[in-house]
Amino acid sequence: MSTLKTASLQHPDASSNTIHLSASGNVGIGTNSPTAKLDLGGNNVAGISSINSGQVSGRRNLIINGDMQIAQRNSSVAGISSSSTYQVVDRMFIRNSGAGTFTNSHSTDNPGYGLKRSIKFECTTADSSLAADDFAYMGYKMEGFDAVKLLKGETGAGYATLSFWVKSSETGTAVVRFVDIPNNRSQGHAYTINAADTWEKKTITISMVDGSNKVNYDNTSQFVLVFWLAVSTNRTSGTLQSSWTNNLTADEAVSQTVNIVNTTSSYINFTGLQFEVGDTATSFEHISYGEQLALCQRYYEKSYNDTVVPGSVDVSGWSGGDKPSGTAGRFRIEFKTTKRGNPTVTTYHHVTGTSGQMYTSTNGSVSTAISGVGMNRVQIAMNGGALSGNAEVGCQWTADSEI
Amino acid sequence: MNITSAQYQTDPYTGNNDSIVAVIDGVTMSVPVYPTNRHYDEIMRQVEAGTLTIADAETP
Repeated sequence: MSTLKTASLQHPDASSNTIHLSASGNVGIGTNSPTAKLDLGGNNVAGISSINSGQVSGRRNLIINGDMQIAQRNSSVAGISSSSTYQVVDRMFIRNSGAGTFTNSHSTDNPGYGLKRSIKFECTTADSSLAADDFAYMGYKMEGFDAVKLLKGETGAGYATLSFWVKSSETGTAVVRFVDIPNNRSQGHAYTINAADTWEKKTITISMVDGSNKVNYDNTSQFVLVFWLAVSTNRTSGTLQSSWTNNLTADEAVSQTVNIVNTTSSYINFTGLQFEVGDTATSFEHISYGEQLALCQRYYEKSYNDTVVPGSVDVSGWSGGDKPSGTAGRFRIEFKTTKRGNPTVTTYHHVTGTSGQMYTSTNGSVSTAISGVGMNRVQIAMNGGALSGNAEVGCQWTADSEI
Repeated sequence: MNITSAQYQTDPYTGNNDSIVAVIDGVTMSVPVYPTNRHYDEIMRQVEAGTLTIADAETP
């Protein structure tokens, strides 16, 4: 096959070059000095309906807080030997069932590329010989309103791609499990941690074609990503299913050798989680801190300042009102962000930090009564009815509507 | 979740038991009677399992 060697292409009726090829391998359209592989010289591109089979622009990343920026609950929680809740970083669900003890923290360790925080799990009590049913994982639960964008089981279903950064003291094979909740279907994919103590970027592309097994368009948990931290034989004795298959416990984490509670001080960090439609991992989609916080507040909101742990003695930003004598003090709170569903509301006496209580300027500490809870507002009142004396009443609070 | 107590709370306006005051992992919370709230779902799971009882609301 011969090679056409030319530096430029020009239509016979045109007065200037249309395409210019540089010696360094760049292609220019509308410029004779291309500085990138494809340089359009500032001209527009029209007629693009898709990039990497996904949407052209806008929010590509379906994971909220994938850059681990937001940690409203705490900066670090130690002694996690049993967990089925959210500990530190917003939207990251932590499960531990018998797999040693670890500390979960909001870490400043990062791989760069604009990612400034990560979520860290560090073993404090090792369990190098896990019992058959022991396991631990970090989960991301996606509500149906977001999960439907994956097009699983829908017309037009194609691929979705997960990318993330990982760093661990442990090398070997780890597994990410993708779970379709309503149809009880899942698939798992192994990735390798090649070098200890080194940030590595991993990419997993999965098909969303699965007959008519689609997720529901609602506010409940419909699609879950499971990042295994430690797991034993009850979940590794089957077959790693790399396409959609009915759930089987024995298949959940086949091939996983990484055990982050292998030795004391074993650890693993994650950041830069991105799950997007299409078969290609694009660069991490950075959004502003304020936008990320607002997205997290659909699931968890607090009156405290960003870095203050709920339950702390802190008067900054407490909510409250005035109580006329002979009445039960009460006040309404408007949430900053509409919640996923009616939230669990926890009040904290801002002078003592005691939960379930509020401050009054004349009647001491009083337990709180929550009423009228909705996705947008709640009323907090003194429990027990009217009290004498004018008073100022108030408290700090959290509203939790996590999945 | 470690739920050590649960008691219905009556909404003074509706007169209904619209929430449950529960101590969960050592924190006193007000859990709405609202399926898909994860705390409510867990309370009801434990009630059905016979490991938790929700006390009646206090009489006003």
